[in-house]
Amino acid sequence: MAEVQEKDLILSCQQGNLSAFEELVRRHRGKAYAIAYGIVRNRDDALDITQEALFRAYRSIRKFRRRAGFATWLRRIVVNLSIDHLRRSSLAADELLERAQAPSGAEPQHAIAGQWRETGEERALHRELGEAIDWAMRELNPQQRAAVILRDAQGLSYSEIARAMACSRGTVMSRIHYGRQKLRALLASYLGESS
Amino acid sequence: MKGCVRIRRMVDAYLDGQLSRRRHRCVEDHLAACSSCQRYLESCQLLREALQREAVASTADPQLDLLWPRIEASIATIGPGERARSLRERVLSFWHTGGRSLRLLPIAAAAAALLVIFLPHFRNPEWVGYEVVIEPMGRKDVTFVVSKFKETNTSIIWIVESNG
Repeated sequence: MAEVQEKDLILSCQQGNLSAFEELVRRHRGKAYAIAYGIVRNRDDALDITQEALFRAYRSIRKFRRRAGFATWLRRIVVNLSIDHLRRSSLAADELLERAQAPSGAEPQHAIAGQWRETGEERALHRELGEAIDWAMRELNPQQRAAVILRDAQGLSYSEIARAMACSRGTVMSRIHYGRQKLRALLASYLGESS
Repeated sequence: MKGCVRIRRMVDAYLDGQLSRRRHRCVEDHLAACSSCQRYLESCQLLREALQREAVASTADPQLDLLWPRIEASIATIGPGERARSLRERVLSFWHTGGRSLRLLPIAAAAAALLVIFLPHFRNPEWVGYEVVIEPMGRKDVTFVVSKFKETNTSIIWIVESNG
């Protein structure tokens, strides 16, 4: 059976069809969650944000005009909620506490890099690089995180990111540049950079 | 090698396909000759691939199956006024809430009708006149305004008002 077109689903939602909205959720939940997780770095928070974003989309679906796609609209809600969440939460304070409690003498990336050199397996490298990225991403500010995730993980163009983050293209380029620069500096030992 | 710093500043834009043709070629020429910058480029690609792997893994997170029941429960908590509604519900709601000004519509329509009736008096010399007739119809009195035209020997009847 041919898949129902998105514009028909949206029209159906606007007429009060809940099943049509369920189908929209099924289609967009993965990407929305991936963006939220990429920014907030916590699975439970990412799920809450995705739920809230989709709920807000439902409440405003009547106002939705098809000039931009549903995905673009939802992405903007997710990015805003994720950045707000980081601003609101006391994440920074918690992270400072964690770092203070970490064993002294080595930065986290060096500790994990040491393990990687011992194992030397590609799979382990991927897993450990993933863990290191998780740690390094938390060092970026919320806007840099969002810009890097939308560009590198989601493959959006600069213009699409500018729309999602409600800022200029130049600001997007700057956030991506400084975000990547910081990540590379933090992950130099994993990425095999001599710099 | 000479120019490595300048080339590395352009690597992000190179990977994003944002360089002009001339600069793109300049970076490629440098990368072909510089193993250090080639490793730098590979490290940038490695980081990007790791972020993409993470995103792909996230889209398949099993806890996403919890999402719809939670959204459905949230929707159940909101009032019918906030739910997506049918066209009929929306029209009725508009009439009762935001569309109060539409109640002036009959008055506006009557004013427009009167304007149409009396306009020929000033513009059309062939126009003979008009006659106002009030007819009882059941329990109501209905007002008719009859416009007469000499040339075509026709009349237009306007029902202006009915009183209960």
